[in-house]
Amino acid sequence: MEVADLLLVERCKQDDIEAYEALVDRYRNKILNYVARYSGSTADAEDLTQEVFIKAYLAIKKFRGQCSFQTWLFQIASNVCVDRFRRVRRDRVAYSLDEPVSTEDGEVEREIPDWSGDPESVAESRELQALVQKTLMTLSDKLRAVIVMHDLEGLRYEEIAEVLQIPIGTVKSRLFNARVELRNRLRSYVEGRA
Amino acid sequence: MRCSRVRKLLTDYTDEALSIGVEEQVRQHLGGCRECAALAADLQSAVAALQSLPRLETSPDFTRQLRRHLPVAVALSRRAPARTGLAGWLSYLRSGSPRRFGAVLAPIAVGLSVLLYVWGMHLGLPGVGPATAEPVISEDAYLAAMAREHASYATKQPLADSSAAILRVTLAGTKAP
Ligand SMILES: [Zn+2]
Repeated sequence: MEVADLLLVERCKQDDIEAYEALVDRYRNKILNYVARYSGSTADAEDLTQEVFIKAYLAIKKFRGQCSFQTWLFQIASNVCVDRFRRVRRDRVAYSLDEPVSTEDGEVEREIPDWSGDPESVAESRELQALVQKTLMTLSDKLRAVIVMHDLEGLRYEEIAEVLQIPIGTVKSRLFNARVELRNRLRSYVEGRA
Repeated sequence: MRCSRVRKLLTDYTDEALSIGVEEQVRQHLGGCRECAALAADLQSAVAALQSLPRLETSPDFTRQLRRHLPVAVALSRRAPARTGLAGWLSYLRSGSPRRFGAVLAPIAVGLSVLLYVWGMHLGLPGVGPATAEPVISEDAYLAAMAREHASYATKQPLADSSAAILRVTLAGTKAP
């Protein structure tokens, strides 16, 4: 898989646009999901994903294969997200768990079913998915980046360490803290409503 | 195994990233320690809650749109980048999404509108300017001076389009106070 990626990258450097489209096809959904879950905005995610792939194309001749193409792409996505999120957050009211939850079907009242300390079993419903996303947004940027990359996009500890330029030990401790925080906030919300 | 040691291993344990031997030791500890077992359950619970989020997919149009954006981005990126001025704006556009074109064009449009409005007031165009059009000499004189200044610039630095000619025509209809 990685070898094929790097072969495609070499063809991109010869201005082979089809090779680039093959790479885009391989990673567009992964980047889209990362961007959407990190930024909390599915509406902007497609636009941001375009931005990531435009930037990657413009910079691809500088990519020397020092890391995997995926890692390199996530570095760009991470920068694009941090940059955009910094601007967007100023414009938006901070996420509050007391607000009604917005879903694609409009706002819904927060009727929380019996979670029985078991959030995942009921999170199938759309409003609870929205709640998970909102709770995710209450984590710090650092924690959220790591938990989304690992638990949603399946990046390994070493890859995340390369993307964020931090030691593997830091990746693990952020992942631990992010999971604990996410679980506690989901639970305290449910218990607060019970 | 002590609790502190187990807790350091719980992230790897949750990800099934431990060697079989160590994993077995952790599992034995969790069997006899309610606190660590609760923590391990919490970690797994958080992962499961996150992974219940639906996977999103790009629009079917995604690659076609990108194909349209790339040549433009490449063309813009080949211009000598500068930190300020027009080239700076171009590099800003280059680095961004199509939405940014709007962000740049909007203030330009607003600026042009203001210019045209002032110009229209000066020419006395109907529907432009204050409703009660009292003769305000000083404002008129000010506008006339401005028009002469513009015309003077246009003469020194000829414009590519017909702007200079328009300014000269404007000047001809303006009398110095
Ligand atoms: Zn213990």
